[in-house]
Amino acid sequence: MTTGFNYRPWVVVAVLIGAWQWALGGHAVVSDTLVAPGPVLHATIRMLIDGSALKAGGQTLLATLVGLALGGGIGTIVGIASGMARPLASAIRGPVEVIRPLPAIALVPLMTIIFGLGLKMEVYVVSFAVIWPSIILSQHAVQNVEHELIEVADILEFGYVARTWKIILPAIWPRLVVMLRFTAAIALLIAVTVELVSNPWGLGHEMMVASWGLEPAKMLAYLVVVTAIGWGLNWVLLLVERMITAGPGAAER
Amino acid sequence: MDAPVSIDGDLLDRRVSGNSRGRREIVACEPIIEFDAVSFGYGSALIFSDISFGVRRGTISCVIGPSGCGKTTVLRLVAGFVQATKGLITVAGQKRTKPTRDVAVVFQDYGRALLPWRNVYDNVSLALEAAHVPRRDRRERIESMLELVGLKDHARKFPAQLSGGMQQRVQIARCLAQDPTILLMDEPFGALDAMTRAILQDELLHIQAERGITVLFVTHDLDEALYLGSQVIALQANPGRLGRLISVDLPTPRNQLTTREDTKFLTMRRDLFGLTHAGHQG
Amino acid sequence: MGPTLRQLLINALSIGFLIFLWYVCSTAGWVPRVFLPPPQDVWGALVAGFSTGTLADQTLSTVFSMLIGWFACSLFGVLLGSVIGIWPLARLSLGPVLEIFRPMPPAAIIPLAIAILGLSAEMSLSVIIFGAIWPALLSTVHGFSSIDPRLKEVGRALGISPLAFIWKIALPNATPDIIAGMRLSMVISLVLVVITDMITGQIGLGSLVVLASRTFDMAGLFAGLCLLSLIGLVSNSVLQFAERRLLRYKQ
Repeated sequence: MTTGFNYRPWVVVAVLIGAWQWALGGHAVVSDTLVAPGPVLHATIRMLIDGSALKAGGQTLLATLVGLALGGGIGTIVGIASGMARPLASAIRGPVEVIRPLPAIALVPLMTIIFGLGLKMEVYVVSFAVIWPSIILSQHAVQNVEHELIEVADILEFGYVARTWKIILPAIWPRLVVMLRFTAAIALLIAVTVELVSNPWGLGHEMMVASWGLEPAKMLAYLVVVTAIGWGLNWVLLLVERMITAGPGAAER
Repeated sequence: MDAPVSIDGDLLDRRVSGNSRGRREIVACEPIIEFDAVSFGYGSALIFSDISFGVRRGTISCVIGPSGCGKTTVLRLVAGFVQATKGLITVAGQKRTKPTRDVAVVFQDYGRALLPWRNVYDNVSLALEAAHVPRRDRRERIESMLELVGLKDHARKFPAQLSGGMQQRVQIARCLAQDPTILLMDEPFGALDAMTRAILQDELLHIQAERGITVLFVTHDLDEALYLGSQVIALQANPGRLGRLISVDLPTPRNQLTTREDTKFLTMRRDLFGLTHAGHQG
Repeated sequence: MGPTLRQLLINALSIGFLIFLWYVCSTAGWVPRVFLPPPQDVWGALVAGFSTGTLADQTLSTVFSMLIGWFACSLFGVLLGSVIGIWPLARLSLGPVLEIFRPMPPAAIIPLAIAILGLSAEMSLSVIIFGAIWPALLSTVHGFSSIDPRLKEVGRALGISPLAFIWKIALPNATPDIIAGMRLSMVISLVLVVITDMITGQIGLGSLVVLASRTFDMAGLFAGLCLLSLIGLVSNSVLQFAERRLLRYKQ
């Protein structure tokens, strides 16, 4: 394995961008649909400065986070409860298995009828997408707690509340953060897609508008912003994950 | 470098070319494995320096020492996975540069050395496939190997269905299927319980006696080293170096009870105890 | 009674209970009928749709698109992924570059695809392939690049040729990852089929759901949703079954 800084991907990226630039002959705008990297960069910067990226990004993020909190919150509670009580896990398995495969986007028309267009509709679609993995992953996290810890809880005659608070939750905390990274990515994905398909706000919508309006540079710029937000979310949650798994006293090391 | 460092002076001059008892007991002048002033380190860390010893053909030599003395490294040097920083390592007269099929390696972590998706039979078969043995000859050889290690009835099982001892036997069978001249074993019984360990020790002695393979056996267990080996190579740590080289002339065949009660065994054990346990302080 | 049979029975009971709850909620008017049609209406819509053949066409179109897209993704994803995973230069150069695309929503390429190919079947297919290839590709790369070093040493000690090593050790070792990636690709393929159907209005369950919502045909809408669930459930179960059979050794 190579040690030190891995320069190779940067070379590849540089080559790809260079090829892109060369393929479009260096003209600023070749057609209504194709554009060179320069204008894309220009559009991205302009977008960030004049706040339109921030506005649209904020809308998308709002729907993402609220949907994540709603679906993730309910799903985690149900998952933990079912992880601790086997009969409950058995009982919910059937419905979860048949409802989960439904693509969340297919609910957009239904949610639009009930809530109209806007934040609420998007939040509910995001919640639907996020609730199932939350139930399943948190249930697994509880079921995978080392059985020795459960036996300690039994010996100390802990009741349900003490057991959950003192043993289960601290034990699954790191796994929940990993789950959060995963579900946050899904939430962002669904939010952007809902905006692409119908909701007239947010980054997804702006991308479609740019596409219809034959502004390819703007469209790609929005794509860059979406990917950047995805990266940012992942990075923040990775930091949180590292802080938690390093444990208390990590700061002193 | 001339004569190998071995205390059995009278064996040095004997060269037996034929065998009259159906067992390969060829003892040559030259050792089949030879370490000549070998040092090994990587980066700024020196693992050991100036180690010299020889292993005679058809014998079992055991390498012991505290953690960090480099005993596994000695094995990996003979295997050819790594190169010495200084000094010369020869196997059968050739300088050792890369792994070859006539030197088989039994790893300690048998779980990671077996292919989990192949059953016992096919795991052993892998060695024959690598050696391009024709398909029609494989069956007989694999079955005789499995018979040798006592796994004939488990040929269709997968590693996940076997106990630790049985998995290690599969690895040994695969290594023997290579028909090696040298068998390298890296603490092969370390992860097993005491009873299984004793059984496998005796099986190893039996197999080695029957086939006349040269064995280099790394272990942290002094008793095991004295029980199995005809030579013990005792390494020391901090700094890594050769401590003692002892010829073990206990009566054969070895026996778990009588050998371990033999006065010579106990004397050697007392002698070497300080050496192997010294590194555990501080 | 074996544990799996018991769980299946419990599943049937709990789903039945759910349908019963659904029936009560909609018939008693606790949830407005305009939002939640009664189960019997949905069943009626399903029967009607299949007897006239329209639902069958749309279901088949969706399933067909999903399978073609998935097959293409899996093929290209695994082939490309194995090359990148095995070849160290490719892995070091391209691996991190591919990781950049991991957080990108698969549907985000749709505006670009529409710009280039318009609202066409080609656009749909290319969106599906480019969007759903990532799990198969990335997990294949991972499967081939994470070979236990001990197995590599075993290969060296046994003197296995590089080609034989790839075929006999690297590939079976990567199989669990590859299959997991292919399962995920199937899920994304279905999602992208639905989305492209909704956007282009071509024949499929996605556009059926949109149309039904516009005419407030709630029973038809829910019929479409049920069929989509069923397709997802069946396709995932088939792959899960195949996975279990291939990975039988993992006790």
